[in-house]
Amino acid sequence: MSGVNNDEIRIALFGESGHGKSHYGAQLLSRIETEKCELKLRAASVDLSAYDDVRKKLNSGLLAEHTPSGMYKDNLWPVVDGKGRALDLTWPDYAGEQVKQVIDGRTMNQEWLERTQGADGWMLVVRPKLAKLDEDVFSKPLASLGKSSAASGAKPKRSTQARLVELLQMLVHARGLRERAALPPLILLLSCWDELKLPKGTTPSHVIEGHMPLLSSYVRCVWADRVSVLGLSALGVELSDKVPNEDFVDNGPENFGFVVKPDGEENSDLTIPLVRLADMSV
Amino acid sequence: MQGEEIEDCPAWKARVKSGPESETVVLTDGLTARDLRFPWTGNAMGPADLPYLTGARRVRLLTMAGASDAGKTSLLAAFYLLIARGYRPEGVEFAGSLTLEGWENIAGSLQWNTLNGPTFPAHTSSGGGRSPGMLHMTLRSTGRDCELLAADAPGEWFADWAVQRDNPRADGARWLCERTDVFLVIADSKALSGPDRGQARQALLDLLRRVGSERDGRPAALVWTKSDISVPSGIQAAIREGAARSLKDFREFSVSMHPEAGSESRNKGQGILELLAWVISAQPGNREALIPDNDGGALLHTFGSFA
Repeated sequence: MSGVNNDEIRIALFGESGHGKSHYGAQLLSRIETEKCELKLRAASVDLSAYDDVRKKLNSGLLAEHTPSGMYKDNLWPVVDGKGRALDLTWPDYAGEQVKQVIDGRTMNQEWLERTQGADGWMLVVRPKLAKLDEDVFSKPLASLGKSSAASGAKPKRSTQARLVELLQMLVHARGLRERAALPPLILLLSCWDELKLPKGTTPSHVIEGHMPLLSSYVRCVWADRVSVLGLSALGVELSDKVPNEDFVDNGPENFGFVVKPDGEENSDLTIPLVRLADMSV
Repeated sequence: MQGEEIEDCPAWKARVKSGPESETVVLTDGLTARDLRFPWTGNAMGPADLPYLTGARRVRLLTMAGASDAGKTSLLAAFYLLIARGYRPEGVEFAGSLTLEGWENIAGSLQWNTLNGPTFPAHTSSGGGRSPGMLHMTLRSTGRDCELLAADAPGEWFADWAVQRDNPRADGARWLCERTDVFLVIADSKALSGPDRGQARQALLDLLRRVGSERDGRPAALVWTKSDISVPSGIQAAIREGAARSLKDFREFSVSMHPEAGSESRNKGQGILELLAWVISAQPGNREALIPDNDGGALLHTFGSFA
């Protein structure tokens, strides 16, 4: 198991700003380091620099700052899973503006194109609380509707789920440009699960169906059984960026956070989405 | 529908002659040649986009023929909003769209924002014979993809076309008619019960006759919009007789955005999903003339090969 025939799993991670990618990355690294998860490091040391700032903040019981927008860093984590399978994980950290640029700019630069085409699995991080559907005539009917004048008001805001479907369509298109490559498996990670204040046992598929039915239908159609919807609370609690959470400091960030499995069960092993993506990609 | 050359479209020619409109594409950017630019914009499509779409897949073009303000754009917006809310026809899944921004734009006016409540979408302008805006959506049912392309065309086109087929102002309507796979003829319950109902009735009967003479076996339905408003029975009967005479075989639907009694908390409107299910599955009927039944009730039967 020493570096020969390792399964290399390159993960392409997508998510807009404020949806919790960096907190997840930092917590993931802490879990792997302290061996509180299925994945264990094969090498004695890895480059921790990408998450150094985030981890310092979390260890002080504070929210981390926004990832600088120009940055993109691939982190290579040589790990072994519970079945003894050696995996080389490539996990990126970057600012969500780069995803926004793809969606709103409708272009993808060469680096993103290569990542999208070369990845063994895609992970899309979505914060359901930011994707709430607006009220419309069906959810909140009026006795009678007025007539809109063409001149009135700005362009309507595009719904989050429509943006995400568009992003996935772009990724599918980009992938298809290269030798009709098969689509990689997809993990939809519903982040900041704790802020939804849901009863225990609520399943991630129930949440996506309720918050983003268009996205839910689309991924079912396109990925069929190669998509998995999971919940994630990287921190387990809501932290402030000013007032430290003493409990978080005393117990250590590596003891906070959980993943919600498809059956609704919470599990403190934050590497579950990675293991699942690796399972689906072979 | 075959792949189309943009030059085929008379409406497009008129547009080119009249000079570019405001949505001219500007090539900005520090993009390098190797950057990927996506080949769809998300906005409503024009005739020039059709080759891209039809080159790859078989498209089902839906034309809604009806007067201005009859609720054509609202009906399209309702299709999208219901799907976006998770209400789909039985067994149907949303498999993507090349015009998500276009759908969101027409649906936006039916949404609540911080300043205003919902309004019906603004009038679709006829803007001097411009090309129709078309909205695309892929719907999958029983493992088959339906590439639905819905034309959001101004009512004036159809009014001119109904009266005189070769009217130059009806270029857009003729262009659509030649390529359409499914026709919806829109009966506006509000207009047919309002002060100008006599004229509305005449215009609709003319339109039914035109669609009847041009449809050539393609599926057609009579759709009563704003069906929460009741239309005088004499006018209803005249429209149904006219539809039977002109269309012969057709389906009839009544749609409204108001909830059915008892389902206010999960409002799907009325008749909208049933109509959408028919639109994506209707097949051309056999072209033998069917003898219309004078009993109005019989018109609600299903004719043709729809099953």
